[in-house]
Parts: sequence; C-alpha cells; structure tokens
Amino acid sequence: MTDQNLSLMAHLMRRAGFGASRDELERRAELGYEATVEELLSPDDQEPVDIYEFLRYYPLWWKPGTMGGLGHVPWVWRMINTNAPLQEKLCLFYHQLFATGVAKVDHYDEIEDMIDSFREKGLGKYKDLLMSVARSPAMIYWLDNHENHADSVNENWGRELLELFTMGVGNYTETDVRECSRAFTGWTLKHKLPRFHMGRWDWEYEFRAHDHDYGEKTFLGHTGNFDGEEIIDIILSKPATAGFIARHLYSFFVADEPQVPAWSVTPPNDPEAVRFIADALIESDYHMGTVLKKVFNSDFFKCAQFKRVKNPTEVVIGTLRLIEDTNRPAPETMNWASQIGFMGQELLNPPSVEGWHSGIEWINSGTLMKRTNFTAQMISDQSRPGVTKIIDRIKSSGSDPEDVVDACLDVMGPLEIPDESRTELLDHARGLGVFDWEDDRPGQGGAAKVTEILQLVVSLREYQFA
Amino acid sequence: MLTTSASGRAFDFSHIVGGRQITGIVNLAFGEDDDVYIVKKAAGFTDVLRLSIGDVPEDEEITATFSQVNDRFFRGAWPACVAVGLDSNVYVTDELRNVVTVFDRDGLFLNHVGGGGNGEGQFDRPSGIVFNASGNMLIVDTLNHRVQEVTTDGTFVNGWGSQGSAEGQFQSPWGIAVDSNGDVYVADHKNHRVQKFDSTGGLISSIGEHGSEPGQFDHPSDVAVDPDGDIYVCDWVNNRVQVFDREYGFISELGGAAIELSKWQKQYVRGNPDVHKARRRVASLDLEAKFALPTGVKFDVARSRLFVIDSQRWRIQIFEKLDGYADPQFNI
Repeated sequence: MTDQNLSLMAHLMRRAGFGASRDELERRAELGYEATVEELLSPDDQEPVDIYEFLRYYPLWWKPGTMGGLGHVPWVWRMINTNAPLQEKLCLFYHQLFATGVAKVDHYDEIEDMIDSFREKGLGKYKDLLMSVARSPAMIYWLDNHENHADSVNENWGRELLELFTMGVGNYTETDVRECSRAFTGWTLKHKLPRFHMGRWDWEYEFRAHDHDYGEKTFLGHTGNFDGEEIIDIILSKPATAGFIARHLYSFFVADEPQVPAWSVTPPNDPEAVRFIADALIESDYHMGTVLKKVFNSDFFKCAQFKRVKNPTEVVIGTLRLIEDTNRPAPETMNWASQIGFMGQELLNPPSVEGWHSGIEWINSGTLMKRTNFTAQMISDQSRPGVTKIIDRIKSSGSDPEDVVDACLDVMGPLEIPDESRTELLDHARGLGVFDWEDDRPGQGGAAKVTEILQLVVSLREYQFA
Repeated sequence: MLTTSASGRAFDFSHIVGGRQITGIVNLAFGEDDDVYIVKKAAGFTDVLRLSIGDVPEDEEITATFSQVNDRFFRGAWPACVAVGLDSNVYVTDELRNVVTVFDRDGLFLNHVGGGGNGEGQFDRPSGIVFNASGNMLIVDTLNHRVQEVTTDGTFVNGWGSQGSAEGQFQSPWGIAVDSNGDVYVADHKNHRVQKFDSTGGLISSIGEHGSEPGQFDHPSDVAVDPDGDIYVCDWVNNRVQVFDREYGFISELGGAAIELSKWQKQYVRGNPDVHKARRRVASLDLEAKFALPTGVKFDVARSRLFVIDSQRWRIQIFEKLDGYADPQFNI
C-alpha cells in the first residue's frame, strides 16, 4: 500500500468516523477505499453496542433527567465502543442540525430518544427524519409546538423548520411561516406521569384532532388543506432545500463553511461541490446513505484533508478510540464525557436551536488548552494498549531523533507540518538524548521520551484539524 | 391484576416499600426479623441502608444508614450486592474497589476481603453474593467471568467458570442463589441464561436463551429459589420475573402489580399538589404498577414472600406466595 492510500483512509475515517489506529488503517487500506465506504454505510452488519453493559454500572442513566450536565454519557460510551462509527457520526451531525437542549427540555432521556431515532433513520430518507423530529417530544417541547393551537398559533417550530432544518433564510416569507405553523397545530404531547415520586416516564407524541387547524393554507405557492406531512413534502420539493441540506453536509463532512446565519448572504466556499450534493439529494429523493456514498467517493471530498477543525467530540472520542482499553464503564468515563463540554460542546445541550458554531470558532485560548491537555495526557498513558502499539511502531524507526519525530508524525496522522514546527520538534527530541528502547525506566527510557514527542504532536495546530 | 396464579401457585401482590429515599436501589438481603438491607447505587446516593419492613406499607422505616456510620466511606465505592452472614454481619460486594466489605448489622465498617486481580481470592467487579451452608461466600466475579467460594476472611476455597458461551462458561454473570440442596444458580447475564451447578461447581443444567418469550431472557440480573424448588429469574431488560418449577417448566411471569403507593410515596404526593394533580390528569395509572429494569429477586422463606427489586422505580414490590391455590369459579 502507498502512503497516499493510508493518508486517504485516515482522512475517510476521521470524517466518516472518529479516526482509526494505524492497525485499523492498514487493514482498511488492504480492504480498499470504496469497500470501506460500503462497510461504513452498512452499520447493521456490525455487532451493536450493548448499552445495558453501561446501564448495569450506571443505572441512573436509564432516564437521567437533568443529571448535572452528564446525561450524554451513555452516548459518549456508545461512540467510544461502536463498530459502526459513521452511524454515530451521523447522530452527531443531526444533533448539530436539529439542535435540542436539556437546558429547556429538562429531560435528557427525551433528547436521547431523538439521538436513537437519528441512529435508526440517519442513513435513510430525510423526510422520515423530519417526520420523526416533528413528532419528537423533545423537539415539540423545545420549540413550543405543544403551545401551537388551532385558535392560537405558535410559530416557533414552523419557523425553525424552514429557517434551520430545511430551507434557510431567504427562501420563504413570513406568511409561509404562519401557514406552515398552522399545519402543525395539534401535534403535541400526551400528559405523562410526574417524575418525582417513582422516577421518570417517557413523553409520547399525541395528535389532537380537535386542536388542529384543518382550514385552507397557502404555502410556498401551493394551496390546500395541508397537514404537517404535506407541508414537509412541499418543502422537500423545493430546490432551495436541497441546497441548504447539501451545505450542512458539506460543512460537517467535507470542509468548514461560514456559520449557518451567514449562509443567506455568503456563498459556499465550493459552490460546485454543494451543487453536486444537492443534485444527489434530489436524485435520490433525499436518501442520505446514497448521498453520503457519493460524497465520500468524490474528488472534492478526497482533496479536503485537514480542511475542518475537529469538533470537541471528535477530539475526545478519537483520542479514546486511539489509546484503546477505554470500553469499561468506570468513573473516568464521566470525566471523559465532561471534557467534551469543557472544550465547548456540551452534548444534548447546545447553546441554541442553531446548534454550535463550528470551524475556527471551536478554538479559543481556553478550549485549545483543554484540547491539548486532554490529548497530551491520554497519549502519554503507557498503560493503554493503543499507546503501547504506537510506541512499538515508533521503535521500529530506530533511535535517531529525526527518524523518531518523523515516525511520530506519521503514526499520529500521517501529519504534514511546516518546517519550523518540525524544527521545534527535532530540537526537543535531540534535547532528550538517546532514545534507548532497551531502557524501560519510568520517565527516562526511550518509550517515556517518545511520549513527550507525542504530547507535542497532539498539541500542534495541524492535529486540531480533521 | 393483583394475583398471578398458575399450576396451583398464586403470587398475591402485598405492598411496596420505597420512594425517593431509596433511589438507586439495586439489591437486598434479609436480616433478622423484619430487617432488610438494601444497596443503593446511584451517583450521589450510593449507600447501604437497613430497613424495617412489616406486613403493611405503614410499617416501613429506615433504621440504619451506613454512610452516616462511616463518614465518606461510600465515596469511590460501587456497592453492588449484599448478603447477611451466619454472624449477622453484612457483606457487600464493591465493584470499584474489587472487595467484599464487611459491616456489622448497624453499619459499622469491620474489614474487607479480596482485592483487584484475577488470582484466587481476587476479583474484577464482584457482584452477586450469597452464603452457602458451610458459611462461605459464593461470589460472582463478574469480569473474571467466574464464581468463587471464599471464607469470610477471604481465603479461597473453590472457583469455577471462564469467559465464553459454552456450557459452564459465563459472560458477565450477575446474581446468584443457593437452593436447599446446596446447588448454585447463576444469572449468566450476557449469555441470557441461568446456569445451575452442584456445590463444587459441576454444571447440572442451563435454561434460557436471548429473547422475550417465556423461557427466554434479556440480560437476566438475578435468580432466587424457594423451598419448593421453584425458580425465579429476574429478567432485567424484559421488565419481568419469570417463575419456573424445579424441572424448568415455565409457570408464570410477573410484570409488576403496584397499584398503590408506598408510605413515603403517599406522603410525597400528598405534600406536593402539582404532583397530585399531574397524577390525576393522565389517562391511566397502570404504568405505575409495572417493573422497570428490576435488578433483583429474593425469596423470604420465613413469610413465603417474593421481593422484587424494582430498581428504576426506587421500590421493592412484595408478593405473597400461596401454594395449593385453586382459582375461583370462572362465572362467579
């Protein structure tokens, strides 16, 4: 296999997953790029994560309520352990797109149910996802559709459906928002048992016919007695919707774009690629698996290596999967899940319905420190089998500091870095003295010295990119 | 349905014990008289309590809180399961410290035995615990996928099992019980079955496979055997307890019958008008009766009662077992 094959496989796995160890990359490179894409797009062929393995040790996370900012831990544990990384990556994509937060919903478990539906439907048709989200108790409460009545319309859900989930600003009128919202009146929640005397209960969607506006509506140029599903059909028939979803896909999987609020006034960085994705959406009737297959096999995707800043989830999950032996539910699982929030992405609790600002906005002086501290700590933990494997590979490069530095950059990416950064790494490596692989004294032997280089590598600017 | 009857047996719902005070309950053991020791496993609520449980809801009281006797002891502890020894001391498996912690009946820490590892007398996430007729502990050594028999001072006596799905092997086993013959039953959690061994670890038989039909299990968490030889399997993810005769003939299943609140729950609902009103506006209270991920089943021989640890509902559901039961006339 060539270095280019490995680099390309590493790129695919960073985007369609959470990265991969060198062993996995080599195995996949042997399998082939397109075959790997097929495997990633077939999550049902993989052994699923047994979430009850986690719940046995953390029973209160069955329905975690508000749980002190840690309700996302079961999902984090899934992401660490999944054999179907694209499936979880898509959950993250849709969670960013249909951003719903516990700060208002106050029931982590309801948002987890949304994530479960993303896991189930994420590679299917976008319409099915929209219908599921429209009936999701978490979303109904988050965007006040339980307050959307036939005689008293609440436009929150209807507005965000158009503005953030499908078309984007500039492609509809205020009248369309009103008419859209009318079609979703009566889409509400069934009363559930109170939570305080014997634990939490599920919310359930309920359609209340007596509270639904059956009147005629004119929406995006169409007139009829539309209900919510017909409104969604009309939305999906509009080219603007394909363009908007395409841009979301491009921004998450291919290369950073400006933040969503700027899209109505700022053209895509690569209009041709976005058009390609939009066409794929329309041609496939918005079948997301079909579209993603085209994206991953496209030249613009393959040429987009290191064009996205890793989001905090990618940083943490990618690091944990790399160092291995992190699959046992334990108190440290809680700490790892917290790290994602410390880096600016509190899962299941986005800052608003707009989701997180991404790209370079992930980075500030505080979050960068959190990133480098976490990854440096993890990558220097020689008790982890994944770290041992990395060190073993570096050992085979010899004892010359220059070879050691190059091996570190290779095994951690492969990463290409500016000459001045490489010079800094080399200076540090030379200052460490001889890399004596036979010397296994803690803190002094070759392995201990190489972990210092690895700590510097994960602190590099280039390592923050996917 | 308050009575579940089949094959001449009836399981009559008696009452429930619990409420917010026992959030995170995962296991229990019977002490002297009306004493029951419970394990709570929940962030911020990890503890061992002694309850006094009588015949009616109003009888229940917390009579000892171990965390108050041993300041900070439960920080960094993962108590899992509990058994009461012949010495009346309370033995609690700790899945994080990999030990069995010994308390006196009032909750005072005495000592611990074991330690992390896979050698004899060492544990990796110990969970189910029961005493045999010799006064030794049978401990489910979950992530070493085996059962160990050790004395109360921690001396290894015997052990069996390894990781796998073949007969006699285990996959993350959990609950354990001993019958009057000394035979041992283990909830082979991730193999979705219960295995029965003789007292030295020789495999006798096995029951169950993954599923939700009668005789199938989904992550069984515990097992109990009554003096008649009837076997109770706590079918965790299926939210039920299945009852079998000694030949593994399926008798019935219990799904929960809690049609009234516990003493504490009544007090809570009465004291919170919004909770009271919210219960009145739902279409039905039927859901409240059902088990939610039950983690344990224990048989109270003295009073012929079945205790089901209804973990996610923070309560114990108690059933009275009646033998020689005849159903009433159909057209009464």
